[in-house]
Amino acid sequence: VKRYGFVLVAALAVLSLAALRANVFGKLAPWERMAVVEFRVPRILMALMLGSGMALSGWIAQSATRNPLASPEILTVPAAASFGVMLTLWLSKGQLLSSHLLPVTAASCGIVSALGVFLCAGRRRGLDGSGLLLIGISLASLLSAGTLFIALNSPPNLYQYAIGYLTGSLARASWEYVWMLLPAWWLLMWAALLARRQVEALLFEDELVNGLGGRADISRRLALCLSAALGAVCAGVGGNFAFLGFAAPHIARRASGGVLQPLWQVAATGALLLLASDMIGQTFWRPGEVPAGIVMAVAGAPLFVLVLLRRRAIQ
Amino acid sequence: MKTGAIVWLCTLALLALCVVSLGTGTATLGAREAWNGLLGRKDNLEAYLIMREARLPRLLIALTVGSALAAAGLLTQTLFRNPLATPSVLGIGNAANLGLLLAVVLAPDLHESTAVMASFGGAAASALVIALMGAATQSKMDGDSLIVGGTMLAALEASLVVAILFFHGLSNTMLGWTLGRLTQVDWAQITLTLPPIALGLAAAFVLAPQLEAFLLGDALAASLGVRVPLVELGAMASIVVLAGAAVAAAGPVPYVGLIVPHIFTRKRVRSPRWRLAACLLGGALLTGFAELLARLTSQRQIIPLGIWTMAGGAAFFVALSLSRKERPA
Repeated sequence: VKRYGFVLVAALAVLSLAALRANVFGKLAPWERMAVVEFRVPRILMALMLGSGMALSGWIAQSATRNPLASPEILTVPAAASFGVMLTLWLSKGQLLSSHLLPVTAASCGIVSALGVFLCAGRRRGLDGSGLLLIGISLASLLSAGTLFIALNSPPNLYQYAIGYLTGSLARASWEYVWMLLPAWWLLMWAALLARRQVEALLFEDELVNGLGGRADISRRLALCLSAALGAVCAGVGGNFAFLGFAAPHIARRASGGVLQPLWQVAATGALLLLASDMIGQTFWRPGEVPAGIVMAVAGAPLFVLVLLRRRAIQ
Repeated sequence: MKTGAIVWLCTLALLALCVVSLGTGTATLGAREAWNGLLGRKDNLEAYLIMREARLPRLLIALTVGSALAAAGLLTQTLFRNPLATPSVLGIGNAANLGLLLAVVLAPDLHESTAVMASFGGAAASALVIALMGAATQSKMDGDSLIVGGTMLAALEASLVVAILFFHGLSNTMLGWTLGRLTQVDWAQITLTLPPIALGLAAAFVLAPQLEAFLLGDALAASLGVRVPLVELGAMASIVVLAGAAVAAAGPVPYVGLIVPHIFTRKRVRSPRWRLAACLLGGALLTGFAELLARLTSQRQIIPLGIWTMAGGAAFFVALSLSRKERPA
């Protein structure tokens, strides 16, 4: 666990410096300084925040539902965010009033629809197990059907724009977005750190948690709300990084080897993954770039399977 | 509701759906003309062509694809003991789509039967990878790692499909390739996909009762006299055949395999074989209905079938789970 922590920190530091793509310790030409300060630094900060946020969101969802397949996706967050973006674009006919509009609608749609999932699932039975997952997947399908329907009935350039906005990408990173994201991110990460013990306790059977004086149902509800909020905030600013929320906790768990790994390692794994895929996406296909979300799915999937296999073989 | 009532209700609904689906379309035909055309009388050639060459094959394909997907979903969920496992979750559906797409892109003028074989090849390769992962992880075919690995595989294949479409400048057909398509259907396609689906369904009916024992765990199933490896292999093979054929015929239609077995739960339909039968009917109903809606709503743009399987299935499932409180088992 410790060794993995060192490797993580070292890799993050090296990558962040490399991502500046300039010798920051030496003298910088004015244009270089501008590129670094205005474009590269906010981009790195966004990658760190979004990566760690998505990773923790996925970790909470997986622990609280005790299901390794869970991710913010099952709380319908990315689907609802897409729906919000598409609907806003369609209603405003592409004439956006403010650059804050899209992230805010996406995030609030995500949170509202996650609450809808809780209401539907909670009315019927408990929130663990497949009941919640099935309702979540169903509502997500409903929402994405709605998104596609609007998309097919609107001018193609709107759809292109929405797709561009929604495939997880860091291309629009700027200080404005960083300042928008920072307070929400800080608050939610802090809440996640505080809630850590309660979430880990949910890995046991509910009877055991209740017997030890906890209240499994309530803490599960709160944990899932937290996960949804974190996921929605990240999706609103950065688009859909669903793969990250799903894979980062698994990778951290398997690479660090402990049963309960420190939370910061999960977060750092997510940040590292996102930073690395963003760099890969920027490096190839010059002068264009490949969105980090796609790089992650293509390059991350085989890597992930390898990690999975290796861990098992050692055991 | 009793099992018999469910099955009767579904059958009646399916018949009604067939009548409505055959009777509606962009061309308006009178009831008598449509009926004559359907029977193959050529006195009104236009009606004959519309019924026999467009509406009937499209309906048939929609129904068989729905049944095949629902059956494959049921088999996968039972085999892997996971309520969320479906061929598409494990990457089998996407692999079939990828195989088909590769065949179409690499050799544009190849025969349709070869394309179907490519689709089977993709599905089989993906199933093989999953089986190898199972062998390498030393666990049996169940286990969460396998499902997680399958999900990764599915994501990888899906992004490869999108990448190929993108680099070949086929972005405008992208939705069809990722959400199911039933726009060009002919009898050759039906004769190619029906036999494998029938074979897979027959195997599923034979295996259903024994697969049910898997839910107790491999050891207990073996002690009940189930030959575990044999049944596992058979179930995998029939999943591959069903999913491969369905994708070859209509593309990866989402959501059907996942949700239909959850509508006909074990509590509602107890006998394994009747449950399979109910799933067949339900899958056919869902895709048939979605196909009808897709046709009715396509005006400026062709609406892919998958949008309506997702919307219709999800609305029905959510309504069903809200309508009645489940009694604790």
